[in-house]
Amino acid sequence: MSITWQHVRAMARKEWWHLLRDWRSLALILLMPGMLLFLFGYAIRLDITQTPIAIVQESPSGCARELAARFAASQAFRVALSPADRRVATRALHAGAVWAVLVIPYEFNCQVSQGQAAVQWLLDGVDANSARLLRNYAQAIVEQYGQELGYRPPLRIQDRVRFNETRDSRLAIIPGVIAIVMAVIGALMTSLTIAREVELGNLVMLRTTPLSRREFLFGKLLPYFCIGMGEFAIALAVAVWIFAMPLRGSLPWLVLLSALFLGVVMLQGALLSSLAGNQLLASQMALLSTFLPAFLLSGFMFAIDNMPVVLRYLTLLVPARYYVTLSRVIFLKGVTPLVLWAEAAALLLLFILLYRLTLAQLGKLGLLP
Amino acid sequence: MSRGLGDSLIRLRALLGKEFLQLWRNPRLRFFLVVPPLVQSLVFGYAALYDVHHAVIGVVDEAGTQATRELLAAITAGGHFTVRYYRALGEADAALDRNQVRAIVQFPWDFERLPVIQIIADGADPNSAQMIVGELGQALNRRARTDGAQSPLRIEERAWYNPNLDDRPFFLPGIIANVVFTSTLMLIALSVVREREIGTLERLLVTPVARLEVLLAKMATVAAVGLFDVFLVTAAAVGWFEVPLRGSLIALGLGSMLFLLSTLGLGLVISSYSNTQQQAVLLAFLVIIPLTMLSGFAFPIHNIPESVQWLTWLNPLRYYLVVIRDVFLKGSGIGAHGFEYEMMTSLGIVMLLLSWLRLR
Repeated sequence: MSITWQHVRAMARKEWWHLLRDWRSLALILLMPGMLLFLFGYAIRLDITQTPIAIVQESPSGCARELAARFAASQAFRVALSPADRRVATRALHAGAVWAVLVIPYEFNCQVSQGQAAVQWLLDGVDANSARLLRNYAQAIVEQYGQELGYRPPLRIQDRVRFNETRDSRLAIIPGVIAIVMAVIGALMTSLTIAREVELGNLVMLRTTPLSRREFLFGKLLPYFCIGMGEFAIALAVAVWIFAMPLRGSLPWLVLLSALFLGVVMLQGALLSSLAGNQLLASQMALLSTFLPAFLLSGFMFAIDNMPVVLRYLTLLVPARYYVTLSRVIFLKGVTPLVLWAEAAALLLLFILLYRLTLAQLGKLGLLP
Repeated sequence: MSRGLGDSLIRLRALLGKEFLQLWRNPRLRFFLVVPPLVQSLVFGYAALYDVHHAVIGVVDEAGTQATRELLAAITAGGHFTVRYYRALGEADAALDRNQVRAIVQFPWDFERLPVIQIIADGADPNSAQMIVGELGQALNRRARTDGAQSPLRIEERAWYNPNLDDRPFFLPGIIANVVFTSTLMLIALSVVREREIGTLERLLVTPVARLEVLLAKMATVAAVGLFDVFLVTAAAVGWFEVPLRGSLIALGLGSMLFLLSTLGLGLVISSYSNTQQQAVLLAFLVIIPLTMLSGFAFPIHNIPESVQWLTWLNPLRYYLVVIRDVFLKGSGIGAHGFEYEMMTSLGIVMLLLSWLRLR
């Protein structure tokens, strides 16, 4: 029942030794967070910048030229093509060479007295999200120009995006990536290590030793916990120093909650592997139950509010959901996480639940209580 | 010579029978073939929505006039927003801090005199923030314009292929590529490594079968699995989610087969670098993530910085995604993608040659 530190240490030392022996797996595990951070922090953007568009300027009027120039000057667009014939532009849109076409028709002129002048904005709707962003940008340009031509709108709207005034998608992505790195590494590593022992039948052999199942679990997980926290530290340093991610909240809270989250995903991996009993299935289950949910169901890429009810309830079981919310609040909003006590409590609850289940399962596999 | 070929065909048939039997007899593998593709289709179909379908908006209406109430009615009319009222901006701000509202709409007390509305969105999720700001602005402007002056400029827009800008026709065809890529790569790599790990590969090689025949049989089996997955996800997308399939199935099939050349080649290369199944899984994962992220599957390629963007030309997934999406949404036929077919074929041949050199 009690935990003897000596037993835990012996188990942990054996595990270290094991880790160092299979250097290929260790190298792959250590490479993964760096690669994920590079990919998400540097290579991937959701923002619209320099999207190729075509402008067909049929109208010779001065204000048509001015409007075309404003589209060309916008950071969001890059004029890849300006043909005289609109069929050339629509063919380019169909072929995917440009994402949108602005047509300023022949009869276009902006004499306010002569009523409304319309321009056409054709979008490639396949990538719906980008198309929506392009639509918003085009509307803003046309609206702005209309106001300069003397239009007094009945309403003025000032919009502001708080906590992220430049609307940089990276600021939201990086806390999510840290969650994914820890979820994948934590669950994958522990799932493989315990499944191997089950596969080789070592658990039954351990029954002849004085090692209890708590000592087994702690000793087994301790080295991986250290690696996981080390990777968290690296990811944090890269985020703050290389990607200039603002850390507005409290660092100790972030570390504490990250440790709790790592514990939860490691227990998840341990439970899955003791259920699966072989490495191939355990690793598949760990990937399917951590990577995909952390990516899709955590609110990292897609807002949870948008999902159908069943899926929304399902996200309550995804630990990454709570961690992504908490880490975004700490990074960007700078309020104490006590404001989100419910999320922190949910993580703690999951931890206790998974710990109980894992111990029970290890007992079933033959370890001493 | 002709006898040699005939013998080889007989051996191939026997090996194929063995591979299919192995695949079919293992319940875990059967699970692996069917469940992940379906789960991915369902989850992506229901969860992968960038557009705002539902959000709680905090409202601070200091004016409280008829006009502001009508504007608020315009916000909720679309059914996407639920409104929660706050007496002061400070209270609404605190709610934004606590993630209780996604945005705040504020009407100042002198709204009658100076019609300025303030919208504050939560930048912790910038994509949603932009969508919410855009949609709120449109709803408010539309309401205000029905009884106000008109702008001299108007923008008429039309979105081709996907007029309602629905996210599903974008993501679901992409799942086909994702599923085929992941499952065939893992399957071929693990099936070779497993035979090597438990020693049956050596035993096979002392029989009259040639090394190439063993590999060919494995590749044919995995390719069949890949095509089955294409069928499965296509059926889910079209039958369940009602994504339009406008183009030719032959173009889809040809694209899939050419794509399989490179995933099989890549899987064999991975198997040649791994001694154990664990290493193969980790290595495959390390290859799958960057290739998926840098393929245009979820993130537009032209947004990738140019220093990294050139890498995507070497990514077979990139070409396959173009073919699949064009077939589904643009209704392309077999003649439309000569370049993509050529690139997939050449990448496939390079991968297969590489794996042949490594495994020899």
